[in-house]
Amino acid sequence: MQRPTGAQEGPATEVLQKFLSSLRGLHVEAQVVKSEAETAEALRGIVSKAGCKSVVVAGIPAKYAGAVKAGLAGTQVTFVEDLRGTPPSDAVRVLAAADAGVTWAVNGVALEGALLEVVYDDSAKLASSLPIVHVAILESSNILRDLAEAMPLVGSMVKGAPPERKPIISFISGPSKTGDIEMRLLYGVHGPHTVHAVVLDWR
Amino acid sequence: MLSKLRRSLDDRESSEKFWSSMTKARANRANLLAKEPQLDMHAIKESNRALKLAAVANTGLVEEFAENVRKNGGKVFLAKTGEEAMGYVEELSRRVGTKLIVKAKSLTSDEIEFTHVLDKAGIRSVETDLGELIIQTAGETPVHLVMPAAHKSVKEISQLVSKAVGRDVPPEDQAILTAVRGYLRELFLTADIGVSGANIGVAETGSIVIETNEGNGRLVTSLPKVHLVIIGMEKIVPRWEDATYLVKGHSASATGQNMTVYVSVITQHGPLVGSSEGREYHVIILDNGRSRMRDDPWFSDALNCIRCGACMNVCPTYGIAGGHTFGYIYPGPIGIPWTAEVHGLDKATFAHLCVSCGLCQEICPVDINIPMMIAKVKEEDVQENGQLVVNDFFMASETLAKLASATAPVSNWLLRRGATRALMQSVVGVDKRRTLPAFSRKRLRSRLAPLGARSGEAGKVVFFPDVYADYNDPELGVRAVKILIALGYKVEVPKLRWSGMPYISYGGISKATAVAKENLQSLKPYLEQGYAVVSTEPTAVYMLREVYPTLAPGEVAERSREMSFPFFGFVQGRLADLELRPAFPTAEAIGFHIPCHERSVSGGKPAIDFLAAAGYKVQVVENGTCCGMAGTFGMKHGDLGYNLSMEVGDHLFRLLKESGRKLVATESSVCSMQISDGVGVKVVHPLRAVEEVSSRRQSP
Repeated sequence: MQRPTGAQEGPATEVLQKFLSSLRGLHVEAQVVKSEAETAEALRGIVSKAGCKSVVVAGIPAKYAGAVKAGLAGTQVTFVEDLRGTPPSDAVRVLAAADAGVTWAVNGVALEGALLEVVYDDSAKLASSLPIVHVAILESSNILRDLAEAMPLVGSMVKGAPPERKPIISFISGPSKTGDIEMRLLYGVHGPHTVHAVVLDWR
Repeated sequence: MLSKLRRSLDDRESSEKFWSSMTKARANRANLLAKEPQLDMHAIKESNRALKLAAVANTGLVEEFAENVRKNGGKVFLAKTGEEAMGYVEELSRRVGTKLIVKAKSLTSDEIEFTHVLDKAGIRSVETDLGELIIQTAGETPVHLVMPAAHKSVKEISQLVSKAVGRDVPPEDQAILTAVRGYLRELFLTADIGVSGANIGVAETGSIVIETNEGNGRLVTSLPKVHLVIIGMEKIVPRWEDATYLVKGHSASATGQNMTVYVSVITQHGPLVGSSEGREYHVIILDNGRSRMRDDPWFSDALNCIRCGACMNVCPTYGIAGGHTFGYIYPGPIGIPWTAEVHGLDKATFAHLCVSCGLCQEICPVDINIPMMIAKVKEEDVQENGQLVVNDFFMASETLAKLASATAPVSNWLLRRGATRALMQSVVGVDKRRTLPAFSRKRLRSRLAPLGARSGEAGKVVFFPDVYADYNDPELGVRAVKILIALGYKVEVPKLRWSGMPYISYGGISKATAVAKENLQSLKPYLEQGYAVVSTEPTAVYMLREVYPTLAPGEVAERSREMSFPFFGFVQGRLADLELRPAFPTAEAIGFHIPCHERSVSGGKPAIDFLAAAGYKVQVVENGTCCGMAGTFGMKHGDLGYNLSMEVGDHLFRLLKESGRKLVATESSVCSMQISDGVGVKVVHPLRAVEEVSSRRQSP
């Protein structure tokens, strides 16, 4: 019997599929993009559908910045890295006023369905906390099997960092939610109402 | 406590709502476990328990954690008491010139009455978790560890939120969320101090892990200049690897999630847009009685709690009474030892609402022996404030059963008379509405002689009858013994005491210990010769397996733990060798109720298999918690007995009535009384649902 092409990518594909299905089960809109153009298109689709006028962006690696900028063309974009030096009280107003936050996830966690955010400045954390729409971008090759694999990695990131610059780490598993009103599951309390994961399957 | 209980019993609407919340919480957990077969709660339990036991015992961990926080630039304060902790908070607030504190949910801060103390000092501290905001506005304490406002209706919530935000908010979910988001957003942006708790402290890096769903925790820990953490010293574990199962066990048990929406790892207060000016990180490590608990063999187990709230979701009487009656600041089963230890024994009298069903330990993701700590709190309270007559009466059940059996049938005639029952109710407090079982003149051992001895090619068994199969229905014991003999076992029924469960229920630990020792002494020669111990009474097996090893630790108790079996579990693999004929028509399914004490032992499946082998279709009718009888609890007169018992039972009664089952089987003698009284159907022990049993293959 002939092996299907790409069979050697089997396990990685399996992890990616699990990641996508876990996230979808957690109210995260997850999609895989195969090119720079698709990445821009995906972002364009998300912000236009949600009617976002202003977007804050944090932690996107330089090689993907072009795609992100192209995707967000037509909205008012602020890179949190550019806010350095502005008074914090002004910066947080900008972050709080944004309709969407586009941030980088260093890893995904397939089994439990989570995005791993690692930042070194709280402004980046706020970019995924304050706006109503959160878009996390990550590379398909960075998806870990499960929390048991992720947790020691988190530990080594903390241990490996110098004492004055420890990472601020968050696992994000969907939109903010509460069950505090008669135990009904309601999305969007203090944080994002919708979360999107854009998985980059290109280099 | 009794007047609060009466109010809870009177307020049927709230009680109904609260019960359904707890039912839903159990269902959330059960659904996750059904959906995620790889989520092995048994492994999580074992791993968490080993980890927490070692961490709590490790007295160097607090210092290691503190040292690492300091290395990373944070300030650490080791607070011996709540007053000391709050003194630090007040001083910090004054130094920073605080006008506003925003707070994430933190039970440890609730423990030391954080907002209340600051309120008196004139410092405004606002709860930002929706549930906590609701109860702060209502001026109440949390009704539940995880769902602090589970008792409030959407209407009440809208009124409270209206009050908090200063404008009318309609009783609609989205309107409430929008109002709360808008109101708190401004507070987040302007607060000077953000306060959070911590689910885990990791000593090797001095980090904290916070698990939240709403997202307020992320804002509290990043927006204000100062981040203050309040962490109980028991939350600290050595290494990062230790955190995985704690997170998994916590979220699965608390809300039926694989992970909470946000799991945040914080090691210091990071800069904001590059600026670290004024950004301070403070960690208060709270003792407040924890060191004492750690050194107390009775209560150190409470320190293993990870605050998931599962024990309250499953607790039958908490589900009716609610956390304001069944709680002080810490509610529910685990709230009993915590309250007694950190707030005082006088605040922990709600311990007597516990009916010793044991379900809290069964569901606990750290396998905490909550029932035993509760028994100890009850004992301490009884020593201080005296025992109820009715509790003394039921703790003498064995003697009374002996007497009633010796005087049967006169005793039975007396027990059936209204006048006797009225007298029993007024003098000793046995509720006259409860149908009591009849007693048999001839006890089990005297009925066994004709059964004959067997060589025991299949093995050797001690049959442990406990009260019911000895004094009330010895025929049940005879049937069990006959089956064991037919299967080729050598069976002995030595002189044994009862299992002694009521001692645990009513705080008679020294008496329970004496019975445990006596029974273990009697069983010792048999256990040494490789006998198994088998009982038809779930409570007896529960005592042998779960309770005796704690009361009388040692080799014999450990052997008893390993070698004690519920009857049906013991014969489960041999059903094919039995000729089982149903004693009742099998056209309709037989209802089945799993007794609480059976759940941790076998889960009920072996008895179901037995009934199925006899030709029955079995329909399990359950609401996921206790039937309410709880041994002798439901026989006691008044609210703290029959009334509460029937209120708990009502939920199961309704399900059984809806099921239309005319015949119900259950292994427990007391569950049987409850269901029969509450539903009015015939209830039998599964062994009574079959005709006399014979072996298919006569043993040689």
